[in-house]
Amino acid sequence: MFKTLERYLREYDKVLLIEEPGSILPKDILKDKPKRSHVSGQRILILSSVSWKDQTEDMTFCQISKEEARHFREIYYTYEFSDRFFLLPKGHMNYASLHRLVDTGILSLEEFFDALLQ
Amino acid sequence: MDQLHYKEMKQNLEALIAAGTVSDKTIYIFGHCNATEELVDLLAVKGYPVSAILDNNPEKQGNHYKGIPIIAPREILKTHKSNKNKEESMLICIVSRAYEAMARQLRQMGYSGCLEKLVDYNTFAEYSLSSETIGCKRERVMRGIRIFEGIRQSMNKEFYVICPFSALGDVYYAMAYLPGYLKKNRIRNCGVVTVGTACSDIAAMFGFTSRKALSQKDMDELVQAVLFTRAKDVLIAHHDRPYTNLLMRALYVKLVPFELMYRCGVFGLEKDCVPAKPTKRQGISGQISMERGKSVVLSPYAKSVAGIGNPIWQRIISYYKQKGYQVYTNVAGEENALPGTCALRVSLGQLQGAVEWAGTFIGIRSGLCDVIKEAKCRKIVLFPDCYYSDTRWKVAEFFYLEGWENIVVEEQYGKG
Repeated sequence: MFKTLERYLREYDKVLLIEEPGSILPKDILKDKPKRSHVSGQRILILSSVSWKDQTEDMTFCQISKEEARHFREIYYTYEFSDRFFLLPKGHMNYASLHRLVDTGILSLEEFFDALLQ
Repeated sequence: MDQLHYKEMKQNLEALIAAGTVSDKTIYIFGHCNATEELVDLLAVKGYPVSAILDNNPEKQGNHYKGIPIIAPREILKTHKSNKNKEESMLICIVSRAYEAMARQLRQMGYSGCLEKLVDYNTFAEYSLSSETIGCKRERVMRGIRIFEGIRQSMNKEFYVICPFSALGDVYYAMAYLPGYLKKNRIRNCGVVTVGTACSDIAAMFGFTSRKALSQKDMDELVQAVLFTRAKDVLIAHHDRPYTNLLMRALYVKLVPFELMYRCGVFGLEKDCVPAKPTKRQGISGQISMERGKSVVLSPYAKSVAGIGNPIWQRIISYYKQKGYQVYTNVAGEENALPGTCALRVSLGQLQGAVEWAGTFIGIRSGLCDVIKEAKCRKIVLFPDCYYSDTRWKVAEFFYLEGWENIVVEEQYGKG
């Protein structure tokens, strides 16, 4: 299973595992490319076990099994195996998070993704 | 840079010198940070000049540290790529936490010469998915789980707040906003886990009586276990640790000052939430002989920001002595008082009382400034004129202190 993850990391510049994409990814955010020049040109893969269909030239969405998502999440919390793999978890987080800056009105959701994908 | 990491860097450098890796090499250091400047100074003392500091940040490129240019990595690789022999005579040192990413960048750019990591700040990272690596890291998690079990047994609290790094300012803000977090989440009792006793003392100043101090190694393992188990009775209260914490990426898009990072990003509190103030300070009466209101306390040492050279401190000392002031240097551990000043050794809990007694405090921006931020006296904070980490924000913008005289020391005055 980790061979798949290695392949993703070889083929993409950034890999995001998003546990609840519907709640965190507004559909138009990935389409607004002119404003996000740093995203343009990067190959970004969004993984989720939940179906969420959207795609742009630069971003690919890939639905993975719940088992795969669980394995990827577990290895992410075991050690930092890459600085290009990010997990956006759902529910409780026991560490500081960029998303809290959105919740408290410091960052907009657009700025959140700009920061994440920089 | 803290003393433990400095010692590690020095030992690793001495081992490289003994192995003949440094002599006759053109030396570069990748990443301009406080540790880089310390390494430049250390290499200079040992007779090995650094040719250039490499940095990806265009805002830093073109600047100098003690006459050493800061340039883009591609500049040296462009020069040396055409000549393999030259590449063999190069040594690139890295003393940054982002070693893995920086090493990868150099290799991707085609550099195949000598590359040395002199400090291992980041025990969390190993950019490999080999079975061997995964096995080692799983064992590390298990050690962390055992540490956490021990803490739960000995402290027996409803909730635990972990301050994962030994930095006074970080712990200060964690403690200042923790009461608001506990109230918001209706948590009645809480244990605080820190690295080392100085950080534990900060928690004590805010009235947290249930505390545990760990070594950095045990703390890193504990933090990993907390992540792995997704423990719900814990908060890791830090602005950029561990690696799952992406908070500092906010600085790529806008300036979010240090304190706001804690208030909103770490604790998720409202923008206008008022921080708690330390309530358990210790008195100083009868313990120091400084003249009240006619003394100045200097604090020249910092961990997170680059130092300010002796010439500026000497000018400050001369200025105050001419005005009839007694001049003190606040010191701890192996730190020395600046020449011409007396050493002031007081506990963290006494420091506010000491500077209020003195009347004036002048310090480089460090966690000590946070510890005494509420002091009622003249407070001047000095900033080196440099960028914070790999961001486009100056150190003085990120660490600005409300209610203080914030002064940026330009390089020609600061480095000497």
